[in-house]
Amino acid sequence: MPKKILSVDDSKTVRLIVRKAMKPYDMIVCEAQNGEEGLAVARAEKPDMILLDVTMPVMDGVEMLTRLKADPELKQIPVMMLTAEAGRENILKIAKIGVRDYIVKPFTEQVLVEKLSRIMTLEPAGAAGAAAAPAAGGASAGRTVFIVEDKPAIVQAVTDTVKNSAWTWKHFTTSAEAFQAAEKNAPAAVVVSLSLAEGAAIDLLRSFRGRPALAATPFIGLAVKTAVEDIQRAQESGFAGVSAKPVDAADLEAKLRRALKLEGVFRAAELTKDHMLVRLTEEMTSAQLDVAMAQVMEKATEAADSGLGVAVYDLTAVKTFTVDILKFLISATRKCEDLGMRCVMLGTSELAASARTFDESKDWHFHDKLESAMATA
Amino acid sequence: MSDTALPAAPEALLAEMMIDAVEKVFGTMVRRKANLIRQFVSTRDHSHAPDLEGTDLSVVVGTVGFIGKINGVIYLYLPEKLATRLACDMLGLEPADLGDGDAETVNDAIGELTNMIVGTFKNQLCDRGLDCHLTIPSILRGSHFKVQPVANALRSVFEFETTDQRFLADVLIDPSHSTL
Repeated sequence: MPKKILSVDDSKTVRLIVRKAMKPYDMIVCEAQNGEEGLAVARAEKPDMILLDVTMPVMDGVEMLTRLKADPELKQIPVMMLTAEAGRENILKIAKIGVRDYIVKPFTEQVLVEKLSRIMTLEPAGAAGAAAAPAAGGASAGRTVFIVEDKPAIVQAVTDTVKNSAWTWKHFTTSAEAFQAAEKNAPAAVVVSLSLAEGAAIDLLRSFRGRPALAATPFIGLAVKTAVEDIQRAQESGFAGVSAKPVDAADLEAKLRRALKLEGVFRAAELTKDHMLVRLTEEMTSAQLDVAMAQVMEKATEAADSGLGVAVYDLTAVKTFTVDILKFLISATRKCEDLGMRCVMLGTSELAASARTFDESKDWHFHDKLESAMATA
Repeated sequence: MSDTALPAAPEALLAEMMIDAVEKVFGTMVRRKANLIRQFVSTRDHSHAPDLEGTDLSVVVGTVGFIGKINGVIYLYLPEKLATRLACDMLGLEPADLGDGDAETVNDAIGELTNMIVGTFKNQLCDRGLDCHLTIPSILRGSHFKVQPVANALRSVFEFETTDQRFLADVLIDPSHSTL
C-alpha cells in the first residue's frame, strides 16, 4: 500500500518539486496551500508524514503545527518543516511544539529524499509486488554491505575488524563494478573510499540516487582525517557519515549500525564504577536520540540506586550541536539532576562554541578530558 | 546581543550576506552560478534606481520583506526570459514546456526563489540577534514601471549575471535600527 505525504506550502513550485522528488517512489502526494487547508487534508487523508512551510497566508505553519499537535487524531503524524525560516529562535520555538526534522530552503531533492527516508521507508514505485527488486535496507536485501576500496590492506582491515552477524561484506575494487552488482542485488549500505580516483565515490552515490531501487541506500565514506575537502564534499553530497582511515572499527561499526537502522543495538548509556556515561555519536538521528533518552531514563534510575552521583555526557564525537541534541541534553540532564546526580559534559572547543549560540546552552561548560570533568563533579 | 548584532557600519557585511545568499540559492535550486558584476552599497539617496539594461525589457520582480528587530525589503529584478529559464530550471522543465498562459508558474517560481534568497539573507541577521520574520512573496510584472523605495532607506543594489543575462537584487533596510 503506498505511503501518503502531505505537502503544505503556499508555493506551487515547492509542491511540484516535492511531487517530482517523490515520483520514483510508491507514494501518494497530497497538497495544501496553507495551514487551514493542511489541517483539513490531514483529517481527510491521514498522511504518513507532513512537510510543512512556515510563512503562509490564511494560517501559517506554526499555527497549523500547534493545532495538529493538540488534535488526538493527528498528533502522531510526523512533521518535517520545509521552510526558509531558520533563525535560531524560530527553530527553537517550532522544535518545542514538536517536529521530526527541519529542512532549510534552499534544498535539493536529494536532501529531501534522504531526510524522508530516515523517517519512513521509501519503496520504489511499482515495487510493491513480490517480484520487485529488494529495497535498500529492507529485510530481503540480506544486509549485504558493499565495500568499494582499491587498497586490499584497507579492505582486509575493515572486513577483519568490523564484524557483526547483522551483515556480510562484499568487496569491489571499482565503483563501476559495485554499481553493476547493485543493479542486480541491492546492498543494504555502501562503504566507499573517498580517495578513489576522479571523485568516483561521489559519482557512485549519485548513480545510486538516480535509481529508485537504490536511491535510499546509505553511503559511508572512508577517508584520512586530513582529507578535509573530500570529507566536506561527501557530507554535502549526502553521505550518511565518514569514518577515518586507518580504520576505527568501533566508529565504522557504529555508523553501519545506524545506517542499517539497527537501533536496538545502539547503546548510548552505560554505568561505570564511578559514574553513568552517556555517549553520543557523530551524527545522531532523532530516532537515535529517542533511543538514547529511553536508555538514560532507565540507567539514571539504576545509577542513582547504585549510589553513583555523576553523569558524564560525552559529546566529543559530535560535530554539530543541533536543536535535537540541545533538547535531548536538557531533558536528560534534568532527569539526572532530579535523581540527585551532577552532570558534566565532554566536548571539543568547536562544539562548545556551537552550543554557545543557543540561549539555553550558552553558559554550558565542556571539558576536554574525563579526568578534569570528574574533578569538577 | 550586542556582541552579535551588526557592526556600526554594516554595509560591507550586509553586502557579503546578500551575495552569499544569491550564490547559495542559485547553486542549489537552479544549479547555476550567479556572478556579481557590480554593486552600489551604502547609499541613502536613491539617485540610482535600479535599471536593467534595456529599459523596455519586460521584467518580473519578486519581493519579500523581513519584519522584526530589523525591517527591510528585497526586490529581485529579472528579465522575463531569464525568469522563465530559472522557473524551468527549478521545476526540471524546458521553456517549450511552458505555454503562453504559464506566467503564473513563472511568477510562483520567482516568488519562491526570492523567498529563499531573502530567507537565507535574513537567517544570517537572526543569527546575529536581529530576529525577524519573512513576509509572503509578491510579484510585479511589466516593462514600464519603477519601484520607488521609501525615503532614507539604507539601500544596496547588486547586479549579477547568469546564463549571459543580468539581474538585480535591490536591498532596502529601515535605518531606524539602532545599529544602522
